[in-house]
Amino acid sequence: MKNTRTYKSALFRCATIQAGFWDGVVVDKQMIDTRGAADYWTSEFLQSNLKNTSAAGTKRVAVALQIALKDATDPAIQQELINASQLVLNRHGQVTSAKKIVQDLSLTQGAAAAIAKAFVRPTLYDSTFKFDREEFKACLVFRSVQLDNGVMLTAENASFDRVIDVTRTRNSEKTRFTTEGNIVSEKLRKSR
Amino acid sequence: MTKSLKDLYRQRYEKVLLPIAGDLEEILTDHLKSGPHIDRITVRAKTPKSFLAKAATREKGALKYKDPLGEIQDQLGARIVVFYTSDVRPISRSVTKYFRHIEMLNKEPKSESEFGYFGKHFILALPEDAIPRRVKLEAAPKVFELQVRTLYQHAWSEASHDIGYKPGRKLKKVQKRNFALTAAQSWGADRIFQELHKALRKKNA
Repeated sequence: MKNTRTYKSALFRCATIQAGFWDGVVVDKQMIDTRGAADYWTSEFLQSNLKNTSAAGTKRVAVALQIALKDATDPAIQQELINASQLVLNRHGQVTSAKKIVQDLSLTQGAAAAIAKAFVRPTLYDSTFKFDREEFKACLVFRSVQLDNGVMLTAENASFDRVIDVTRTRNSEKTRFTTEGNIVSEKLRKSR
Repeated sequence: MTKSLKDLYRQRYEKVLLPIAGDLEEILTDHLKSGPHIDRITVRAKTPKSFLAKAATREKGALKYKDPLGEIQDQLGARIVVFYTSDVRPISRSVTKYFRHIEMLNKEPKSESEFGYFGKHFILALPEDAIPRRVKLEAAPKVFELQVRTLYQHAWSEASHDIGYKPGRKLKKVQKRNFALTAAQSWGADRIFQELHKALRKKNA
């Protein structure tokens, strides 16, 4: 501890001495940026790791975004969530949490609530992990198809084939895409 | 009046472990579903009978576990059974990719001239997603045990467990040899299937 404002602190608790001390919390007030606690201190001195592996933490956030997208009925929130799922890819290698991502991307209260609600337990919303771009892309990716008649179709990759029927038209090189659903938004845009 | 260990564990078994076991099995299946040749993924909560028997284990005259509820790590036990020995390594990699491991151990007989139980055992941190909202976080165990075995390792282990075989148990010489013989045959079958799998996969490719 250097002084009352810049210090490192770790707390591991357990009911009995025989078993436990498997997890704890650390505070590092000596870090000048927002990367979390210093690696040399947590991994070398405390010989600890983040409770979540990169893959598990990243996949959890991807799944939460997927659920939030599926449940969102407000088109503005849907668009925000789609944008967030693209912007978050820049965080590869950063120690973060769903809550931190939401704050850093300045998502609206509606989008933040939709993501927070999608976690199995509320504490997981604020649980830290190291973001893994490849894992995220493997879990949540959007497939877009652009046709030569100017139409563009976009759907989440995992459900694309389920929500959009794709058939080749007879005696033609053309492809027919068929889908049905309720219209939740319709607007004019200047660009794609 | 303080509750007995039996009552405490029964309560934990019913209200905590059983609900977690179902959710943990779903999580494991989701993470490992793309793995090679998986026969089954199961998670079980240790029964009160089995827990109490383990809690009563003695070592050098004294009870082995001073705090059985905290120290016994297989209150939640997961098992992944795979077809071939070559599947154990990629499955183990996926396990450590998604679960924070605390211990990892290749279980095998001490001597190369002995045959008995083979398997890969992990002690892993229990992910919070596996704890349903109705269960308090602090009531859940921190860790669970995971075993990765081949079909033949599994078959030998289950049958010998059913008979009541345990290392160190007093057996007649011929019974010891019979256990070793069946273990050696399982080991041999694993080896031959692995060779066949490797050879025929190359041929079919």
